[in-house]
Amino acid sequence: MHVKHLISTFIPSALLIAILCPAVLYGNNYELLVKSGVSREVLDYEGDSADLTARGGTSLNLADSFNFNFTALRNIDTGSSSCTWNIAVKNISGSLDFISGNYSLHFGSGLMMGRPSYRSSDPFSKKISIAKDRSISPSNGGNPQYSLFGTAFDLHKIFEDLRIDIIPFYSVQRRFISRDSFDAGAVDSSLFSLNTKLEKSGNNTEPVNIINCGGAFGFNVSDFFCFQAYCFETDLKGDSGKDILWDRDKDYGGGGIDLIRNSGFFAEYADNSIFLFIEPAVSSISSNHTVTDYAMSFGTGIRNSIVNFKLCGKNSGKDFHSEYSSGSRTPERIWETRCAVFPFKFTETGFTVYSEKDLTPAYNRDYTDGSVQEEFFAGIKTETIDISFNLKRKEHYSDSRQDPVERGYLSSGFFLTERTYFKIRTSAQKMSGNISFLYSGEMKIFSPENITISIGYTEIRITGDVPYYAVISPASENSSLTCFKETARGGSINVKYKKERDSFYARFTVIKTGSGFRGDAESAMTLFF
Amino acid sequence: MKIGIILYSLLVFHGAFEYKSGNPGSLFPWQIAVHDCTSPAVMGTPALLPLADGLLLNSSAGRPYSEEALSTGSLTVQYGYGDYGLQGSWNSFGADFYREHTFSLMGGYSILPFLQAGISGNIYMLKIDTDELSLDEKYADTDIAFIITPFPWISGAFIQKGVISLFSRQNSSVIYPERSAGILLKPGRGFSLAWNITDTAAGKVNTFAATINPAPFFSISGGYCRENSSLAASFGVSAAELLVSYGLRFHPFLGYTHSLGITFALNLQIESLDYGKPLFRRNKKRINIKSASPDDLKEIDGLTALSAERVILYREKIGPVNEKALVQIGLTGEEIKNFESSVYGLERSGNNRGKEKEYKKFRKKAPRRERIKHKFRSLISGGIKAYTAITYSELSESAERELFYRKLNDDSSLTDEQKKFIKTTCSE
Repeated sequence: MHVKHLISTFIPSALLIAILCPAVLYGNNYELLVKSGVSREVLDYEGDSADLTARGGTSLNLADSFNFNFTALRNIDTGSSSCTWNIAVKNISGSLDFISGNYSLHFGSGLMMGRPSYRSSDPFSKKISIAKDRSISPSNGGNPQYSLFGTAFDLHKIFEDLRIDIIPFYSVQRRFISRDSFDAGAVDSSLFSLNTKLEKSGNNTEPVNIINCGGAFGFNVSDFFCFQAYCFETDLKGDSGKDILWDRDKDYGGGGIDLIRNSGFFAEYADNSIFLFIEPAVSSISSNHTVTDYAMSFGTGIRNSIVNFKLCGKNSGKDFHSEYSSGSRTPERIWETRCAVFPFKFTETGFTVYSEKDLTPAYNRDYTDGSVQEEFFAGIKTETIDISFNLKRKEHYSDSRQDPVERGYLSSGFFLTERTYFKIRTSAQKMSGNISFLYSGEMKIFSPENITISIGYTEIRITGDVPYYAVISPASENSSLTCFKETARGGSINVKYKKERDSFYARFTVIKTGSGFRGDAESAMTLFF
Repeated sequence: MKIGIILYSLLVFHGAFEYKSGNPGSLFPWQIAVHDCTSPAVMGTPALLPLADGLLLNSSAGRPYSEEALSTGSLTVQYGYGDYGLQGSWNSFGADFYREHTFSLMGGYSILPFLQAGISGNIYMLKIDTDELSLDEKYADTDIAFIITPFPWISGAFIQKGVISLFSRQNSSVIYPERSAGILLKPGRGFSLAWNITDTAAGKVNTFAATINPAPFFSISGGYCRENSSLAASFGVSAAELLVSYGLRFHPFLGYTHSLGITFALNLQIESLDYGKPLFRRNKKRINIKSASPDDLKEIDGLTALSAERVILYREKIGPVNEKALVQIGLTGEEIKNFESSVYGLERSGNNRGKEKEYKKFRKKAPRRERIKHKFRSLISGGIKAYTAITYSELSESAERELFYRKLNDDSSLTDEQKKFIKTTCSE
């Protein structure tokens, strides 16, 4: 049977049976969530534009063991639509979890397999994306671009001080390429770019499947030690099984990549005050010949009532490739350290240093770029007042001269009355002798009827041609930084209602720049039945 | 070529004796005011000497910047007793045709419990033997240092190197009078963080270092210099009275420096980390709340035996346990958190909306057990304690109705208002 027919007949029937049967069996021990909303979000992490997005979805939970999620999303600006869905069943016979549909995987610290997140072009937005996370998470955002699609299992067995997990998975992500590329059996673009081609559009008419399969084997010992070994491979094929190569223009040779195999091992010690992990991994790119290279992530940290210290890093070989990493896919040497000291319960001070060095030059360049980001921060937080201050500096190493960027930030929030909170913040950014400023004030009123109203005003004064990334106060719930290239003033009002877990949220924003007025509205509603 | 650049820059731009120490634990070659002392260490500053304990002998050797012609070496003898500490050392740096020797004698004393001071006398010997230049000079100088420890977890320190060079023109052309100030944080056992700012001949440099001792026989240190983006790391492994350490520095332009040290100490102890409790119980099998026995429930972390009994009682008397019920039977926030993460099959509170009305409609037809449950729920929601609510809801449905009224009237633990509420609720 053709795959399309299988999807159109089998899945709806399976969904219907899967939802109705448990609903009858579980009686009132269920939870139904309905959510909808409109917001401005960045859907394509490679770009930097936030599109107006409408989202609606539902989630059904039966006795904490069966879960069905469906979310539909429409990009109002581009007119495109997408959806994500999944069915998750937990504790089948006490030892098997299962998910089918859109899901994300996270193995080890996310070096090879993790969930990517959006980083804006703000010079200070870079942060290390190396951390342990849940192995399997359902994708409920409505955007299938960055999630796998297929099936994953978690077979687990618990002994006295030992938990063993076996996680096999299989994923088929359907994307579209041009007829010419299909006939040639190779595409120029990377898999990451191909991921954005969710629908037939323009020349991209031929369906292909990005196939990922593999698994992880892990065990936890005495609640302190965690070990996980994993391997998986990535391939691109047509519906008929025709092999398609990708990254045709890259230097791997052979007219493109045929297959990528990844494997790694993660070892961690963690308790409530200390953590230490290391993850060596190997990627193997098969083309006419096979290119194999390594990467390693590491981290350590100590936390107690006086200090919170963390150091994480990643180093890789020049031919290392990690398509599904939670951080960068390309070879790099990065590390980040953060040290916060709490001299008193209500104060915090410390620093953060983030260093990044690419290991392969960008297209048409022969210099590998790098940067160092430093931050000093201090803050006071009591029940009634909240003051925070930071100084940031970013220096970029490149063959083209670029001055360092410096930014200072001061904010102060306090309760005027029991139900009225006031916050002011100011920030200045200096680059190439040009200083830009931000001033902002915000008032929040907490009504006894679980309603919170926030009103804010923000002014951004730009000097020179260096953009300033900021949010108009009060910040949006899906807050992503807006890039201001000219002086702007803006006001915003947020209304939020939250009772138990039901919530409603609306936000109206007006921004005035030299080019004119711009208005925006966002809302979101979540109801539990 | 590289060695030429290094030595030329040392002589012309920096002056001699810039490369202070080849000891792996010192991380950086320049002077710093304060460093970790959680494992036996060669003290970089005399003010730290009161922390020395007994006799220590150390020898180290290194290869700066992976340059075959360059080498460093050192020998140190240290002795500490009570509030005093003494250290004698020899350091050498250079190549065949260029060699720096530094002999140093340091003494430190703890003036007050929170104030330590130290002084050192140094002899610097510089020997250059090339076709163009031949030099064999000796210089004498002295350093002073202070450390203040206002709280056990924080110290502030300062050292002034080359006090004579500071005032003498002759010395200052060769020996730069470095000064350094630093803060050492020691927030817990076996862990420290140090930040030093040093005024060197090449400018001010900030260095950050962290030391972690994961085990009583193992120590790791790492450091970063902001100004030249250099990184350094070292580790030490001890066995009996011996500690072997290895250090690796990375300078972005000059390359790697390797060093190896061996320490003999009579009282060799590495202060190891205090390990904590598990973040969460990953290995515990989740319990089905609908069928869990009292023994199963008692295994949940933080759940007291009394709370476990109440959960069982609630399940027997009222029905499926939900989140609201956990509050009603008196579980604390932490107990509820642990409970929810350790069990499955927990009823959801929100699902009973509308069910109450439906129940009222049919309660007359409901069996006795259901009526008791309903009364219990009403009493609990009216603020009556669980034990009292169970007692009166059961009594009100028993054959001995009079006993219910008698017990209620005699109950001194209840206010009149509560009695009235119980009477009304149970008479419905």
